[in-house]
Amino acid sequence: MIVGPYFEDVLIQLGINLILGLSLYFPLAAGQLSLGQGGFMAIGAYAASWLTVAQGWPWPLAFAVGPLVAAVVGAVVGLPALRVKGIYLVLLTMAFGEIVRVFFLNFGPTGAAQGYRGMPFVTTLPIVAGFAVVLAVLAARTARSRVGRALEAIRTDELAADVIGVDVTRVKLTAFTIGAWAAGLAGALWAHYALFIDPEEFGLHRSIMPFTFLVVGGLETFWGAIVGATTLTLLPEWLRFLKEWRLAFFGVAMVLVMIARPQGLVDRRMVEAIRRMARRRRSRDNTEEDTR
Amino acid sequence: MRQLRIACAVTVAVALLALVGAPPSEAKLEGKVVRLGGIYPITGKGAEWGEHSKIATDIALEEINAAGGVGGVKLEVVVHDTATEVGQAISLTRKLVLEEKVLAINGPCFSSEYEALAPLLDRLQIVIVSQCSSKPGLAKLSKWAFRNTLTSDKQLEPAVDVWKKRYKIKTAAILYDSADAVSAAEGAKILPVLLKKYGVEQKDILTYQTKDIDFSAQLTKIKSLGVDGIALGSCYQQAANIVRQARKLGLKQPFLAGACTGSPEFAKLVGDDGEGSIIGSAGWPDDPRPRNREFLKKFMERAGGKKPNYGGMRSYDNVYIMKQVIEKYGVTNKPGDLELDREKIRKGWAELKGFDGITGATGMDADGEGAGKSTVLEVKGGVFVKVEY
Amino acid sequence: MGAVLVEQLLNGVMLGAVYALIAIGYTLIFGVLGLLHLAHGEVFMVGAFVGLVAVRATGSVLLAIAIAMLATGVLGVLVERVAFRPLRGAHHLAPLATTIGVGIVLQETTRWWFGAEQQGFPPTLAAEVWQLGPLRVSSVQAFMLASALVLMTALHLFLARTGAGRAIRATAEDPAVAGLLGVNVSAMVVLTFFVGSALAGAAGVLVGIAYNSVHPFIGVQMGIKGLVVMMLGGLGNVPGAVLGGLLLGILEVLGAGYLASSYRDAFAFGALVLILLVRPEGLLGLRTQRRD
Repeated sequence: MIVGPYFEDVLIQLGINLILGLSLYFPLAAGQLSLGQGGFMAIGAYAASWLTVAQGWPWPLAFAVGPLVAAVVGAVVGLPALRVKGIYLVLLTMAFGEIVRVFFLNFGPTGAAQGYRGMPFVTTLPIVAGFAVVLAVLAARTARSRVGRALEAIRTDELAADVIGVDVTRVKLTAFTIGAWAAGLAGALWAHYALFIDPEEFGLHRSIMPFTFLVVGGLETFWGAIVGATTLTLLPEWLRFLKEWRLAFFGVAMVLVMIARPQGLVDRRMVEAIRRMARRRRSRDNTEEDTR
Repeated sequence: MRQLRIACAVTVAVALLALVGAPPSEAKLEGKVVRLGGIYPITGKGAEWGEHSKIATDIALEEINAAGGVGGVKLEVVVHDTATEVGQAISLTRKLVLEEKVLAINGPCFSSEYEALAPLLDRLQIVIVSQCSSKPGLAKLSKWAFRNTLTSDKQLEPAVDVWKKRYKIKTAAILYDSADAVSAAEGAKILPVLLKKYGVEQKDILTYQTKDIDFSAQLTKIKSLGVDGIALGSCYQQAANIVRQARKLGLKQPFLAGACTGSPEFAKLVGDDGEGSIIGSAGWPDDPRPRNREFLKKFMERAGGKKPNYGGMRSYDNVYIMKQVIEKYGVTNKPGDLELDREKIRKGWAELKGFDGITGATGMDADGEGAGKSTVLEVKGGVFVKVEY
Repeated sequence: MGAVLVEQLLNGVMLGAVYALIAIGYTLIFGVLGLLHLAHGEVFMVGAFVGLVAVRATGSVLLAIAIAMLATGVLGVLVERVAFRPLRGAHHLAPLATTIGVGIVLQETTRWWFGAEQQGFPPTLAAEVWQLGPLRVSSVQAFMLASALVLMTALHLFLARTGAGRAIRATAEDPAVAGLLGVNVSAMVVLTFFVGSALAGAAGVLVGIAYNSVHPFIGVQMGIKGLVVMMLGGLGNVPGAVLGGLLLGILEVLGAGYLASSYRDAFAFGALVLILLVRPEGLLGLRTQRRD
């Protein structure tokens, strides 16, 4: 082990939070704020767990199918969600998350209120890191591709995007579905880390978490999800000495960041500036080689 | 000459006996501090249970260290707050085991936390002893998992009997919290079985969610059934509300409840409305025995006048049991002996019988569950009074 | 059977009145700012605790309500100053984050001060039960209904008859035009926060009296229900909030009484989803209502 065992736990949780944060980035990139990612996380967690526990499937298969179930539900929810915007979408997704929670609260085969256990321990640091990196790369690629430009067009002005030929419906729905899939993946990973899940685990607070990551980290680029998740997962660890006040400081930090820098810690300008610096350094190295 | 040889032989024999036959418990422990761990829900929905556990632990530590500690060495309990969250319980346990290298752990309190932790113990190889968790069937998940409490069915059974006989209950309705593991087990599984066993007809079974504050719907329905008594599967906060609301709606039936209702706060909150309620519990805070009185006084001083729930009482006992086990089973407290010491503690707990604690005679059964006599309490004048059975 | 049904309806109306009082605050604030105040539930919770302290200190329920209303009104103004005003002109999602943060701080502070356990309201009202035909009405129920009625009537008169009330309505309709017509928009916003929060505070005390239950976490669930009611009634629509509150209260009670209570919340959110998809402007809203 490279890092101490306790810190390893923290990093695993960070990895899951990262994936959860990125799961919100996708729909948000298409202008859809979803406060229901907790619901998709629950679906992915319960589906994957049921497959490993009740059906005895090997985990790679369960991890392939579980988040897929979440994605399918995401597509089903995403369709009517297309008709609804802004605050209404926020409330719709919140309602969805709560409905999922109430569903699992009553669903016998996965333990209902008593919770579900028996999952094998799968979520080691390398595995979480692997998934997180894959997802981050996906986000990065998407942002820079033609799809990324389509996303941005939609986010800025949906009507105009439609006029210039962007298939708004398809892009939005795909973004929403991918977000659901990613949240489902986070759920499957969580379930096979905690080895016990219950419906309360995926309540409203889970849906709010990725939102606060993005708000603090930055809403304009996918780096926001990474920075936000990292800051807000590690901050309570450093503040642990405050013990009982951990949560309260969390809240205060959110308010302060929002007041001092509303676009979040990382905005597009910063990302561009860093990219420019990197490019300049690279071309400087190249010219140095030439003049040698 | 022969007498001298006999004398020598006898001396040698005695010396050998003294060395070999002496109980290993008197071996002095090494090191400056004997470290145990505690994972309590100090914040979050289980906050009262965690707070009481911490206060009780502190009292036990002070007493033990004032009297010389464990095997002559100071005793320490490193306490972490799980915020009643399963994820925290797991990572904090790992921290205690791998980083802080404690010998054994008191906690976790909640059945959800416990249920998630127990399967991990075979890898972590450390003893956990819960002071509160009462959902049946959990300690057998691992040979390292113990619970110094009574499972809900043990807590409820004598209470049902007392309640039925006292109030001549022939029909009853059950109302339970389907969102809380222990209450749901009590309401959906344990109470129906017990009611049937004791010849009480179950007219209806209703549920609510922990966060609900309005029970008028369920209570109005129960009113229309005209039952003799109402059995609750509930934590004390909601149970107190249910009782008070019931009285406001004109319901006069006597109440029965179990584990999570067994906090002295319940008796205080319900006041006259709950007079005569019967609770099956795992500890009686107002026990008049001198050691209990001592503990109660110290506890109330530190808890702003509040009386301890049984999680607090059993934490106190747990620390003392740890002390006894460590001293009796040859724990050395040498850093190199960490795994051996933990195994010794496990053995000590597995073989525990008849420890005289403030919650009564304590011992572990074959599964690692607390084997003891449950306490039946009655609410009288805003406090719990013990009922003999 | 009939008597039981009527009693259940009465229970529903009582619960509905509480929801309505909370939702009015949400909807007023949304009306003037176009933003969600996600700490409103915690303001309600603080009101309940202030009421608890006041009742213990003075023994008078009416005085406690007055004191709680004053305290929460002031708290609401503070929240506006901290969580909304600094974000004028920022991303429209930022206040969601700051209000969540403020809500956490309020919750944790209350928990630190009072402890996490439930606090019982002392039995302040003589628990009498009156027989009205087949109905049994308790004095507490009657008091609650009467109080809610008084408060809502007072609000209506305030909005319809007073200068300040009319100014608030003007601001809600169109802040720019209102400003041009000489309305001090900033001051109206502050006043709105005061009034909305005061009503929530009153609701908090009423809940404490009727249901005995106050603890630092009651704000979360109540807050969500308040949001649902606001949606049901139409964003910014005060009579809609009242109607929506009563409707939800009755639905929940009937659902819990005749079906399983574990599905109780599902009604609230199911209804919300239905409304959002079928009639997003709410039951009483107008189709041209401002969105987002």
